[in-house]
Amino acid sequence: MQEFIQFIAEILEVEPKTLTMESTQEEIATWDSLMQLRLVGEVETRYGVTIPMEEIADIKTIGGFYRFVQK
Amino acid sequence: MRLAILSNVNLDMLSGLLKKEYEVFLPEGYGGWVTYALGRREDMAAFGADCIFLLLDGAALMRGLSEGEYEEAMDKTLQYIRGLADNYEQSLLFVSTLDFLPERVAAGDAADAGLLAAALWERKLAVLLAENLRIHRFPLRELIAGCGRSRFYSRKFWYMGSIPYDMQGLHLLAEEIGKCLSRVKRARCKVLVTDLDNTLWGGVIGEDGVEGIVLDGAHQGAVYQDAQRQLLRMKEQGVLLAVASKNNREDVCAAFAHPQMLLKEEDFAVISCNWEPKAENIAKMANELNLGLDAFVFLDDNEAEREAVRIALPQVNIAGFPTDMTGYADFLAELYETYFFQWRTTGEDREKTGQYRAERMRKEQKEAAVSYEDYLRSLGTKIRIAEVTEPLKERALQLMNKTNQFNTQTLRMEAPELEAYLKSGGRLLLAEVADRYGSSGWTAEFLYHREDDTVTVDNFLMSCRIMGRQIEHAIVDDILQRLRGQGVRAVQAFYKRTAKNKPVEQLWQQFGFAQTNATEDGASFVLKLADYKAPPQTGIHSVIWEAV
Repeated sequence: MQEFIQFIAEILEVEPKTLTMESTQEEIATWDSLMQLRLVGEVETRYGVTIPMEEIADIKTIGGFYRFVQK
Repeated sequence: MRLAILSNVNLDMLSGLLKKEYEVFLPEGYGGWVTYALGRREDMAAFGADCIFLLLDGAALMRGLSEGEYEEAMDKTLQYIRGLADNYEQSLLFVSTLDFLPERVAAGDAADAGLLAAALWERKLAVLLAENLRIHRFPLRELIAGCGRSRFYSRKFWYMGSIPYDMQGLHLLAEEIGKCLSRVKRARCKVLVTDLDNTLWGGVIGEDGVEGIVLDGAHQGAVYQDAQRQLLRMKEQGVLLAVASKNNREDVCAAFAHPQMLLKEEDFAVISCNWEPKAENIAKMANELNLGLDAFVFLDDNEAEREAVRIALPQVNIAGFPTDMTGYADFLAELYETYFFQWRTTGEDREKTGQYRAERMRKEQKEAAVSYEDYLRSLGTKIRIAEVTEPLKERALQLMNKTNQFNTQTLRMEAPELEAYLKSGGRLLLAEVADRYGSSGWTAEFLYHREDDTVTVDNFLMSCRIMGRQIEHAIVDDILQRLRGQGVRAVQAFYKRTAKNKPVEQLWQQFGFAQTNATEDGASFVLKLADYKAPPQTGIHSVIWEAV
């Protein structure tokens, strides 16, 4: 889990310490709609999972991405 | 470096990846690149890009057009590109090749329309490159082919954000752009200095002979033949090839006559085959060719040789070496891209080797001073000497029966002969050599017998793997000192000439042995131990004696 936060923090270009699974899109300045897509792409490539297109808009927290990694 | 990204698709995310390392200009809204071609726009002019990358997606460029309309659309696009080049004269312009993601609903007999269109674009792009030296080709289609379309493209990103490429594709694009930028900045190297044994062929010519080396059009020998082909391609690109090899000149001449040898002597600007440190040979080449050392790239399978050159000549570029030889040809392609890449070939490139060969003939040779001693010290060599014991006998026999070059008398023995030799009072010492790159194992052998206060050396030999590092000085010095301590007064030694053992012709003289007799077949020597003085630099390597 810590490794996942580290990974996401690197993409968002923020300090890993400032992130938790509950961190939301609104709290993080770099997390815009384009970043949302990039996170989808990076998570899919790294963890070999598929995030369905219709669910992308509903992901609002870091935990929201982590859910797909755990599946 | 400042760069601008223009495209007919959304590449915001690509610029995000590039922004970590470069200043990036990306116009608002994709597809707007044409407005920059129609007239000079102040925002990009003010940015002052060193390089402009125009990345065109084939499918997006031709969307809604029938195949018959492709050519007209391409011509129009090329007109825009000419405008772009004219409007931003200070920038280099990279124009991509085109790739088309196939839609795949087609009959089995349908031709690959994307391939045909991509080929047409290549031909038109070639005309553009010939017209304007500030325009370079960006290999987008090759990049996609290398990765595979199913991984490079993303339907999801396309539908969600008009981004045709997946994250993986975008990362590869960013990487390729980085490579282009570094090639723009970097001065191209000029000379590739290559080793021979296990680099241009498999095996050691001085040991294995012409018939024994691995070089062929198929199977494992093809690894080296393909490598030679890559070197020839580099030569066609104006790269000067040179050899720095520790070998006898005659053996190397014989190797060049190998029927599967593609490289010929005249393909090389310089061929250095001797037993001097390679750094000295490279320094000489730089002097003869009148080129800076930073124009040299050194290729050698032996890490110790690479390190020696790195220490003595830090300006020389040291190529690594693949661990898996099946990747050798690709490794050399990358070496070309890193050090010798050029955007355009000129007719002069093909003449270059001949010119330099001639230039070299005109110039006098001068010795270049390099610190060989520093290199030897840096190795931290430890030599362990042991009397032969039962478990070591097999290795001792193997070594004495296959070593050709560094072998004073080339005395060959089978197991029973060795037993008889040892029973009659003969002594056999083995040496193991280790340095900071690892151990070479038991690789030197010293045979002698003693009568009263005189010792006779029956053979001294070393594997070619440890030659050229003054290991022999340390071993012989230590043995002589020990013998002196044991009350020995004189040592007799011999050189028995063979076709291969020229490297040890002058060996005994280096320790102050006096020649007592010499014929065509060799020479005899004697040393009074009271007069013995160690050769210079002998103390560099440490030697220990150990029972095994």
